[in-house]
Amino acid sequence: MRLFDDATLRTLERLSLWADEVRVGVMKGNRRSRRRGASIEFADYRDYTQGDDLRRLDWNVFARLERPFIKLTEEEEDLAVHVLIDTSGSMDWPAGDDSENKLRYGLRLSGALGYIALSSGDLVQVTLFDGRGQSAWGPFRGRQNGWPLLQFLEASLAARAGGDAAARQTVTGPFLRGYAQRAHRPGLLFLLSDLFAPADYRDGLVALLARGYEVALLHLLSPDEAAPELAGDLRLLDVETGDAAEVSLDPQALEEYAARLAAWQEELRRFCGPRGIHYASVTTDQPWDALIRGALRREGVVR
Amino acid sequence: MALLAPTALVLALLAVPILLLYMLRLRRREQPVSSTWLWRALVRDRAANAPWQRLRRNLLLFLQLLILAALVLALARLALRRPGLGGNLIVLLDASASMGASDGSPTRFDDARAAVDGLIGNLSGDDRLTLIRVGQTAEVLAAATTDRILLRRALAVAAPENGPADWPAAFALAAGSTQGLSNPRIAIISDGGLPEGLPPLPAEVTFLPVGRAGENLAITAQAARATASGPQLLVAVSNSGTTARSALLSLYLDNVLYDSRRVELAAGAQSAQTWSLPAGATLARTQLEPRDGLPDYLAVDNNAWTPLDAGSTRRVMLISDGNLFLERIFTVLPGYELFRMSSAEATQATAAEEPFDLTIYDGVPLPDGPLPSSALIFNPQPPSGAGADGSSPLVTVTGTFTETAAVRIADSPLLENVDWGSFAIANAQQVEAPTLPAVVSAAAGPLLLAGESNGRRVVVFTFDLRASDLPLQIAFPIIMANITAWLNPGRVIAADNSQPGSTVTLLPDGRAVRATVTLPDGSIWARDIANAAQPVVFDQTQQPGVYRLTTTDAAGAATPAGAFAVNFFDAGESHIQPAASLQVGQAQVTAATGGFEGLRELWPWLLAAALAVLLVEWWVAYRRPLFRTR
Repeated sequence: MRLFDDATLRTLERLSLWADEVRVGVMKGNRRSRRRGASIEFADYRDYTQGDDLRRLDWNVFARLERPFIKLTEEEEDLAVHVLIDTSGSMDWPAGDDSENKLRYGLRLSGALGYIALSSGDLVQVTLFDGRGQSAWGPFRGRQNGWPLLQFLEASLAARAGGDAAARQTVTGPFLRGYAQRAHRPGLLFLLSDLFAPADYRDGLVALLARGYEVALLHLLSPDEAAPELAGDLRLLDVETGDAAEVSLDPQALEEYAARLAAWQEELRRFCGPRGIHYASVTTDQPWDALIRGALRREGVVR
Repeated sequence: MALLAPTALVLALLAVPILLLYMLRLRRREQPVSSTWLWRALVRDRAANAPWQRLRRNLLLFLQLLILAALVLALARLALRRPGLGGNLIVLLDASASMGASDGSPTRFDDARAAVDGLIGNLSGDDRLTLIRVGQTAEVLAAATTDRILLRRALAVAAPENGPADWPAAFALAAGSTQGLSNPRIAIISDGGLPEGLPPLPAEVTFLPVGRAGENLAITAQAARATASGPQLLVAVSNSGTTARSALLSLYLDNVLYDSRRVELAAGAQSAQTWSLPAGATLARTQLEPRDGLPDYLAVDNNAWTPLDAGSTRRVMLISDGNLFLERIFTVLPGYELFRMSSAEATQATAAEEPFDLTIYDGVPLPDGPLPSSALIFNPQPPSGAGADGSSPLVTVTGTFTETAAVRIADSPLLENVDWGSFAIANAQQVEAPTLPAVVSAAAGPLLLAGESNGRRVVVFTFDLRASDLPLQIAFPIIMANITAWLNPGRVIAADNSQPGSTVTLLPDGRAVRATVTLPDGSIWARDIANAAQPVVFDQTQQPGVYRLTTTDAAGAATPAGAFAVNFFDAGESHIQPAASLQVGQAQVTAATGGFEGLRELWPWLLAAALAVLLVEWWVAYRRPLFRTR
């Protein structure tokens, strides 16, 4: 099961991810850091203070002025890119290998993002989480890891079919909190989820922000969730929890649903905006590459 | 609102199975969705979990219950109380003379007509109205029809009469009209004046009164009589109102004012006035006018007419071979001029130049054919003509008998104050007269017969006066006066105190070929007389006043043949005080106050509504899937 064809991959190679806030690279990367570091690019001088690396003392200046100055250079560092994919039951919707399947769409999107990041030499960690636990790939760096990433994602996609959907509860909030606590390398974090969660996910997002992550929230919805084509007296069965909701649907009820959905998305947008979380509401009938080149570029995540 | 068949409401329980079916039917289609998280809020809001609220917005169920409600109400015969008829209404429209009283707008009958028009205007649906005009005869103007135009046309031509209403006949007609009608109702539009003892009606009776006031002055009787001092006129006037009245009673003789008198009448009182009339007057008319400025609502009873046949003598032809008693008695009886003729002359004189009012056949054969006038026959003889077989159409002589003691004496005006046993009869002719009833019979045959033949009154004595001592008794002038009064010779017009609407029998003499009556309003009524012996019946007597008869003979000469008066002498109709209630059968029907209210059944509309809702329901059921593809 291929997520991408070669042409797509070539397109992805030309893109790079960009985060404004996160500058905690450990490895030398190929992007300029706000930190002053050890590269050859001169940046500034500053007074020596005790404990500074004597190797960075500019001896020529010291000889001329008899005062020690530390030569500051540009730090060039890598970016840690975290891709978190909600693989709960509700994400595996619409059922089947539908191109509008949210999970498939999310894996494909995360593959693209991961591939972009790897191509840029960034550190990439992809984590699939649900109620049972998580499976992670990485962190890896380098273009040579692109293919293993895609293999991992394809394997995950194949594996989800056999999974027990009911067991794959959405645990977005607790998971995000735990992820934030475990973080040793905060960076740009993509969260792909439908957010159909009984528990609140906001404290998880806040915890991530507190740890210095720059979060991009890709809110995935299938077209039939955005505009359900249902009518009559229905017993709605939740594929994730198995819960049932009996509802009599008429045009008025559908309008109410649409209004409620819009209000929810607006609420998310209002939550994310002030906190610097990039929020993009995505319906899966939208081409994923258009999303990357469109919505994510508008958000300043992809350049 | 009313339910005519409320038991049908039990069918509303059918809603229970419908609801149950709905609850059972509401096994919802299962539809997997990615998450019910968003839906739950919706469900919470719409509170669609509770069973009763499940139904709340269910349009189809609502529509079906609506259909059921409409059908149940239709079966329960929901009806609206509304001004109108509600079913089959039979209207008895009083057309008696009192309805012509001018205390309405302008008359009571106009008010009544407006009331009927209102009822016609309220006709709706399959309401049927039968309009019966109650005059001197009850007349169905329109029978059980829904046609407003027909009803209005019939109403427009209805007019009150100058006479009493025949309520028993109207009640019988109304009762008959209710046959076969569902939910019949009877409305009596009247000012009262219904007689006692009317039968109950087989329907609900509503009384719509008309009339407001009862002020009326009336001439209730008028008659002329001859006295020794000349003719006298007696006039009775009455005040049927509730206040004392003052009126002027004027007497016109031959349309010239002769005298006027002021009459004071207490409430409900009568007064009799007498005038001595001069000789020679032919017509007396009295007129009553209120003189106190108060209204007199009924005008028709304010005039009365009496023809006076002053000075007219009746011509009597005595065909006899000599009878001193008869010659004498007709010289004694006032107003008779006697002509004599022997039997031999009589057979030659075929037709008299001037007709006689009375012909007396004393012991002579009767002529062939019909009698020319009233006849008094003594001692009838078989026809003398050759070839006669001893029979005449009227009287057939079969023999003679001597057992003349009366064995049966009928109660007859001829024998008033006459003691038949006070005289003796030697012998009498045995006759057969099938058309003449016997007044006095002996064992062997009748002695005195009296009856009518072809409109002529005939009295037959089967004995010869000279074979009896009757002419010597006091009974003779009495019986002759009775007989001549009964024969009423010369009365071309057989009418006594005619009232509007009554019939008058005209008996023109044998020469007349055409009878013409000039009505009070000047119009002419004429009738050709085919058979001189047949009386002519005149029935156009609606107008009070003087009717003048003229006969025309074959030569075209017109001869005045007398006059008769039609007077509105009806104390009951002159009493125009409107009644507040009617007695119908045992029930007292009070005046309907709040207008006429009918029940208007709504089941056709309910059925139509049910059908319409059914169509809507079908549309909804059919249309709903379309929302999915919206």
